Amino acid sequence: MADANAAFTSSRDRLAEWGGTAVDLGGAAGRACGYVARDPVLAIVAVVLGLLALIALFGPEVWGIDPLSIDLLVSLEGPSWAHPMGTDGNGRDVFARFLQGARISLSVGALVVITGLVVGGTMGLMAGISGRVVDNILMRVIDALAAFPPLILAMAITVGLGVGLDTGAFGIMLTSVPYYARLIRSDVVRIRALPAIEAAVAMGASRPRVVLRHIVPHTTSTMLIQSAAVFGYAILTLAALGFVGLGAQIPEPEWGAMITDGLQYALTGQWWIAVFPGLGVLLAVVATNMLADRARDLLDPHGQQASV
Amino acid sequence: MKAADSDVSGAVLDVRNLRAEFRSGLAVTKAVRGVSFAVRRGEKVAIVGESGCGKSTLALAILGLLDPPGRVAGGEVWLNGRDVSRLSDRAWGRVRGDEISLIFQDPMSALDPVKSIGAQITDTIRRHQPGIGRARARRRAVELLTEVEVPAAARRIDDYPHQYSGGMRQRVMIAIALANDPDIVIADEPTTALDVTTQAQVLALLDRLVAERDVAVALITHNLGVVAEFCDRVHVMYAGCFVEQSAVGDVFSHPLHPYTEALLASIPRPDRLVEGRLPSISGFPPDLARLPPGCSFEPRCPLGYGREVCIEREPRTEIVGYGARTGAAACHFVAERST
Amino acid sequence: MFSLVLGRLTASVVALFGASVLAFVVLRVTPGDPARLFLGPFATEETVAELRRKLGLEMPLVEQYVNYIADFLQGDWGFSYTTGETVAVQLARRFPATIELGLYAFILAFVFAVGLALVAAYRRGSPSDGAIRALSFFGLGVPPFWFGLIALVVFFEQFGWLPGPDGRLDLARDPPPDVTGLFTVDALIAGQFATLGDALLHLVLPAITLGLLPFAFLLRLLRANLLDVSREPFITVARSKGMSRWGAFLKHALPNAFLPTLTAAGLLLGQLLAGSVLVEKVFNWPGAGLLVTDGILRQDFSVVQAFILLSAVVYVVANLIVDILTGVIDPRVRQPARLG
Repeated sequence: MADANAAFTSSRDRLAEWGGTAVDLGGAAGRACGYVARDPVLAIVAVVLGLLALIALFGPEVWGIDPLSIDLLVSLEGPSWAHPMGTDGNGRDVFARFLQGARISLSVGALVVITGLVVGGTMGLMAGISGRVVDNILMRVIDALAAFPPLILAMAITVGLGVGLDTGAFGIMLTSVPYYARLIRSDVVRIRALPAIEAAVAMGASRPRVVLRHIVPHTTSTMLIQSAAVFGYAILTLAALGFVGLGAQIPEPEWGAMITDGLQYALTGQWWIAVFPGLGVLLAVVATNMLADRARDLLDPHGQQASV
Repeated sequence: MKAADSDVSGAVLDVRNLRAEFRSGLAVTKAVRGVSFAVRRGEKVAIVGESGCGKSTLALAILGLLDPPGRVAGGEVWLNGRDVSRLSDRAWGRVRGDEISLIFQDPMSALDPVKSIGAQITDTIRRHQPGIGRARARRRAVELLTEVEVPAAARRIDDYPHQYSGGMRQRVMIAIALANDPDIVIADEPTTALDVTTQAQVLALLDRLVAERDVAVALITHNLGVVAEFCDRVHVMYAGCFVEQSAVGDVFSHPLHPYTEALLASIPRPDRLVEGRLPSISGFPPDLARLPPGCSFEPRCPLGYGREVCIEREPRTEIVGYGARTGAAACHFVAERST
Repeated sequence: MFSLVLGRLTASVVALFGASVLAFVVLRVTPGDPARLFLGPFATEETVAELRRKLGLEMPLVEQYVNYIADFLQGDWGFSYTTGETVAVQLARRFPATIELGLYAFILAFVFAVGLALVAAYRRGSPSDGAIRALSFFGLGVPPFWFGLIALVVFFEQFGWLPGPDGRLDLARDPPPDVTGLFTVDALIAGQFATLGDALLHLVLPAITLGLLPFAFLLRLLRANLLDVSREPFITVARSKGMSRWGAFLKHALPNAFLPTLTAAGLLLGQLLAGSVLVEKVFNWPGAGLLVTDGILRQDFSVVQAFILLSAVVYVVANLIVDILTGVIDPRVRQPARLG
């Protein structure tokens, strides 16, 4: 009888804990809205990103034109009402391709951030809280990944596993893992030494509890700030892979591949094929970088958190 | 507010109604609110107050080193008979380090980590004594280091700051401050970051050097013990203003302002056992961005708490003199208290 | 000091080992036929089988790996089936062009980054600071290949001020006698000033394009470090000695801000390496990067593989050198504190 009660109370405690974390996160979201309202640059950036997200989610369906459909009769036409971004060498509507490209780029960006965070973050966390042996082993693996300049590693993956959008995305995911791992690890090492953690341990908190309830929450702002930067970097790298021909393959409407496609026409006057996709990349990356910057100003003004 | 001795014609430093503030967005924090005092040649005055009362800002403001978002909002600073408060940065460059210098409170971060000690001393020597030449400047630096009792100065002059202990670094700071024989040195908590033994040594050193060179000193500190040992006059600072100014002996025996009295009472004394709690001043220092219209000490004042005149009107400084004792305090009840 | 160097050296060796294993696994072991990858889609089954035997693809993995590393260390980097030359020869021929481009890109990036970072940090919060920060965001977010293209469209096609994507020199001009492989240096040595001018003109757009990302990166880093350092007490102390604000910035803040910035120099090299792959294609710059992108286009991956492993070696070595250098320059590391 007493045991059942104990079990009941402990699961209630746990629920309360998770509830507490949820409230914390909700509160943070509310504060974030407050920040946006007060800072005009941040507001503009948020709007741009919101728009990009919208067109990534709904654009292709709303616009309706098939990004892959060829119509040689209208090839190489400049921007017009029917084709706001013109048509390419095969008569495909550049705007439709742009919208689809936004979807591709933003989803790959999100995917890279999530997997990098989960895989790299876990590795970093483990390395940070474990003893020297585990730490060393994990970090040597990370070192091996980090021995390549990021784009080169992604190129290696696509060359070895076969070119294409999916292997390209996988390659970029792989390059974000060492970044997150080192980041989280140094953050955890820093947090571990904080008096707050010492206090928690002194009060008898068990190890998993210390980690989850005390250490991880301290890393969230680092993770958020750096994730915005990783998101932008992933989009850039995807475009780079597409540009050299190792990522998305023509006729897939990925922004980088579109730029390659437009390369041959650019110097003969048909600028729109290459310019618009590049603008897309530029906007997306600059907006996320500025967001990351502002977030850092707000959450970590004294630069105490790790950054790689 | 004029100093108790109104003869300031021989003053090295004469600060007149200096005001300094920090602007951040729309909020204005008034860190220094109309401070006036003067220091004569060879005099050692103390500026005493809690952390956050504006002492360090005062020092920076006097030297024209207050950078945005801070600014000097009014008043004048006269050094050796001329107004330096409106000087350009360039003109200040000739004055700072030469006529007036500063000793910093944190020896650990007050020296450039990537330059040798010698370089940091000789650069101030050569700046203010042009034409002195490298060899002579270096010899002078070694002399200075020896004067401040750094052992094996000739060998250690090329060391880097991290190779010196905290106490030694503070001695280097003193050497730098005295290198060009200034007329006045402002020492901002020079011993706070040091342990007690080193504190005593550094203070003794400062005492000796200052006496030898007849340098005026404005010592900023929150340590009343240091004040008693070292200084001639005391200015007590609270919430950006000087609330009391007296000779050091008088301050300890007959404090004029309730704040001074409370400060003194809160120092634990080994010869007076305390029953119950240690006395302290209740409440917190005021928010300098949102000051009340009346006396800024009123909320914590055992004398004035709740009294109408204290809440409504800011007290003016009253000069009090009786017998050999003259002092000044900013309190509505000074006259009563001094009898 | 010595233990520091030894430690870093060991870590680098381990990292390179791990990287070589990774490259081996990805490029040789994964599904997909490595021999086919080398020979291309048009080779016959027999040739492929022969290469498989030659590459020892039937051997146990460890043995394969050892051979792989041994070949690499001896300079046998494979054979390019589309050009009929060994990869080593091709890369050796092309590398000077990449080095020259990278060098100028770096110089431009460095000079402008330092200059603008100083201005931005000194006039913190002013409009010029804002403009400089905006510039750094642009540099970090713009795809370099796209920027190069736009630059060509504007400066070459529209205005004709600068040469187009025809490589390092005008087609009609002969390169200077080969001393270093760097056309600008060689032309200077030979006294061929017209060639020097032409080479420099051809370098303008590609160098700016390649250097844009490193510039933005350095700018942000240095500005942040300068701001951090300028808050330190010793800056105020320097001013209390009579130094002007700008003087204190230059003589005390900058040297101290440089140290943490130096650690990013290795990263910079990685950016230049990767960037050259992207930029050389846009400008038809005959360097190693173009070799790689051409190889990709023609499905001739031997060069690509060699470049990948080479990049890792250069990257790791560069980071090692930077780490050691930072340690050497910092007096706190060079001369550890004595007590008292």
